[in-house]
Amino acid sequence: MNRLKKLIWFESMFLIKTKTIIYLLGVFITMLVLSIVFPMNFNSDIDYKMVLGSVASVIIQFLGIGLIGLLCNLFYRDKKFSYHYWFIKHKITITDIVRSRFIFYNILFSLLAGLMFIASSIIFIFMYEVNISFYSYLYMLVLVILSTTYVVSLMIMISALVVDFVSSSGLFILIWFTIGIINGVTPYLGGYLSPLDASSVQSGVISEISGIGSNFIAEIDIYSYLLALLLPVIYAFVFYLISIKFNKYKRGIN
Amino acid sequence: MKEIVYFESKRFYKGKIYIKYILVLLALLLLSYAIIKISDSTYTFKNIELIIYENFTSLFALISSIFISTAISKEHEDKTMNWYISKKIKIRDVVVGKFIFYFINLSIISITIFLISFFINGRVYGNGLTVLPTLSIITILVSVYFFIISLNIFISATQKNSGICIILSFVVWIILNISSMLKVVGLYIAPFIISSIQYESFYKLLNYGEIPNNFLLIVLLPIVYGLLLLIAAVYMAKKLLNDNTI
Repeated sequence: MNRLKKLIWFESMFLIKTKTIIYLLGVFITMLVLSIVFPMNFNSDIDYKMVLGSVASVIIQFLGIGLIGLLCNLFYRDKKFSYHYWFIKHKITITDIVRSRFIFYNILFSLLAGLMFIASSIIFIFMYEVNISFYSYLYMLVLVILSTTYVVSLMIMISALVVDFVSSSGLFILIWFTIGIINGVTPYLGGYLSPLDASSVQSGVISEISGIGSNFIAEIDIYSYLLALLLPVIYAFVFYLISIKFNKYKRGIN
Repeated sequence: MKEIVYFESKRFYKGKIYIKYILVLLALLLLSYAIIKISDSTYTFKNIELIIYENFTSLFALISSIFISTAISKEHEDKTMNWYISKKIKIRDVVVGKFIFYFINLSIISITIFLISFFINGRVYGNGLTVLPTLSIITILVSVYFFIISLNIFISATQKNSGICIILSFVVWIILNISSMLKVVGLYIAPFIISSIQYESFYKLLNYGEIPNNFLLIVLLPIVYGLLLLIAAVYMAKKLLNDNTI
């Protein structure tokens, strides 16, 4: 527990010292502006529900790209800046490193994504009439948070499996595109693979609640609502297990 | 400058980065076909080429940042500036040499894949264009890539950390996309976005085969922007890398 605390402290100090946190806030703010402007550009008859749906979709589908610079660099930077010595000195194992990063970044970005969603919903109260029920709003908020854990876990897993920075970011982009291709070829299967695409079950549920467009083709029922929430968490857990078991982060520590 | 191009190519080919780059571009190409299927559009030459062009410019701006982000910032991370000084290589040559390398390599691979798909789709779906409009399309693509690569080189020259360069590229990409929604001005801001005059002229060339009257402006504007960004990149790189010397 002590080592875990040390590592989380180490990660937060890294974000602050390298000023990465400022750039990440920049990512969130620009994404917020994009999600505000985006629906206005295409539809003049938009309402509160639709704008919230757009915000949720933008966060789920684009956040991954914004985080590439940090999360795909996660294990490579240890090698580059020789953080290994610090880990050896504090008797920290590889499992500790992977676990602490999963915990820290999942909490950090889920919170930031959730806050961004809440902030946008507050901003829009002044612009549109509120026409969404509390439970629908809460559902969308939880969906955004859980989908963010999927994206973050996927990126940490890629970073742990392919330690090189260019390779891991390239691989993430490849996966992003491949999900899009699978959705095009087998839409029923593709919808349940990842929330990153506009054809996903998450996108379908958001569309059902908010009334914005989606490419999800299966019918939305109560199970879809449940699956949309559960699938990202299950996938995130699988990604965690894969990272612990198959990470290539072995040199210099053990 | 020759030495810089040589060293950069060694890194690019030895690290098999080019294979990853080609794989990403091929996935992007396949994604374009998938987008047409998902959006229930019909597979026609014009529909496919429009989506491919959109992806090979707008998404290319994001993808290329991954490969170029390490260009200048890596020199800071690896502390290689003293080596350049010992070899009497100027910072200007480092920036320009890297730009030339990335521009030639990334553009050639990307345009080749674009053209292969262009000719195959022309054969399969008909409506292939004549030589002059095709050459005009290539010229537009080259000028757009000139802008994109110089923008990425500029971003890479502003930061000490290559990870932050990618984050910054994403922020700039979103800002440029948002600013493109401005009326009139939006046409001239970023050549890789859908509302740009470059996209508009590509659409006209594809549909009517006619070269627009303002073709020179369409091609020259991204090059002028790119040159300005390169000058700024040299200035920023001097600031960044001079801190790095002993």
